[in-house]
Amino acid sequence: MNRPDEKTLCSWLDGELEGEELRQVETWAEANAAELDAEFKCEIGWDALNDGALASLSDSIEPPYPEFFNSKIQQAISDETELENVVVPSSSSSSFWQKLRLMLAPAAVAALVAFYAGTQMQSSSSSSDMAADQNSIYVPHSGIVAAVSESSGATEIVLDGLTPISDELDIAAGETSPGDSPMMANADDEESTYIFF
Amino acid sequence: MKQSFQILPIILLTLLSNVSSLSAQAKDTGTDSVGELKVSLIFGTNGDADQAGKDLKQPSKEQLEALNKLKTIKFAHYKMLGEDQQPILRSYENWANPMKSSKEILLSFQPRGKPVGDHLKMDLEFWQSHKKIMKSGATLKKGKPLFIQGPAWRGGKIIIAVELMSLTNEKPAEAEKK
Repeated sequence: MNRPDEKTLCSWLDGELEGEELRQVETWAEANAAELDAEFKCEIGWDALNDGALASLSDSIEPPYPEFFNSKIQQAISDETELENVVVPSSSSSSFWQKLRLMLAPAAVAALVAFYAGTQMQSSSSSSDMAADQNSIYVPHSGIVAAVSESSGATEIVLDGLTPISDELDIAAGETSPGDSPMMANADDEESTYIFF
Repeated sequence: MKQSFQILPIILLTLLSNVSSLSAQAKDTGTDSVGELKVSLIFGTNGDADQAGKDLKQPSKEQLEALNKLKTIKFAHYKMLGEDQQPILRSYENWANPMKSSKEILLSFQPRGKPVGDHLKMDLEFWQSHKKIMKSGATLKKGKPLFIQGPAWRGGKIIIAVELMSLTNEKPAEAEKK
C-alpha cells in the first residue's frame, strides 16, 4: 500500500476509519511506524492524544494510596456538611438566647422596680402596722391599730378601732356576748387529739 | 416445753415496749410549769367608776402605782373587774379567764422558748367576744407589767394587765441567796 493521504491518516488517528480502508491504513502504519511518528507527531490532535493516553492506562491499575485520597474526599464532604448543619443552627440558637436575654433584661428591671415600689407603698400606707411589727404585734382585723410604748416600768399597748362592748352586757356579773368560746373550742380540740393507750 | 421457751422472748419484748411507752407518757415535760402569769381586768374611766358595777374593788396598791406611771393609758378612776393567775406551761398553750363566769375577754399565752434570766418571751393572744383581736410576741419581765388598753365599755375602757409573777429558773438562784 502506498502512503495514505493526509485526510485518511487524520481520519485513522481520529478512529473514524472502518472496514477495508482501516485495515489497509493499519497495515501501512505498522510497516512505516518510524516515519509516521516523525512526520505526524506534532499534528496529532489533543483529543486523539488524550484518548490515546487514557487508552494506554490499564483499568486494573489503581492510583497510589486510593484509600487515603478517598478518605480525604469524604472528610472534606463531611466537614462541609457539618458546617451547613451545625454552624448555621448554632448561630440561630445563640441569636435566640440573645433575643431572650434582651427581652428578659427589661422585664427583670421592671419587676425589681415594681417590687421596690410595692414595698414602699405598703410601708407608707400602714406605718402603724410597721410599728406594730417592730414590737412583734399582729392585728389580724382591719381597722384596728396597735400603738406600743415602752418605759422602764411597764409596756403599754393601746388598741384603737375595737368594737365597743355593749353597755347592756354586764361583764362584771359574768355575762358574755353570744357565741362559742374559743377557750372551750380549743379544749374540745385538745380532748379529741389526745389519745391515751 | 420447747414452744414455751420460744414464746418467752416475745412476751418480754411486749412488756418492754409497754413499759417504754408508759415512761414516755410520764416524761412529757411540756405540761410542766415554768412560771406563773397573772392577768387582771381593770375598768378605767374619767367618769363614774360605779358604772362598771357596785361593790367592785380597786386594783392593788402596786397596780395603781404602775397605772399612774403610764404615759398613754391615763384615767382618773380604776376598778378591778377580775383577775386570774395561771401556770405558764413549758410547751403548751394556757388560758387566762380574768372574769371567771364571763368569757368576753380572754387571754391565751404560750412561751416562745426557755426563760432567759428573769425574762420570758411569750406568745400572747387577746380575745374579745370570741374573736382573736391581737397577737403579741411580748417579752415579759417580773416587776414590769404589760398593759393592754382594750375596748370601750360604759363610758370607760377595759384594761388588761399582764404580770409575770414567777419563773421556775429563779428558784435555784433564790435558794443560793438564802
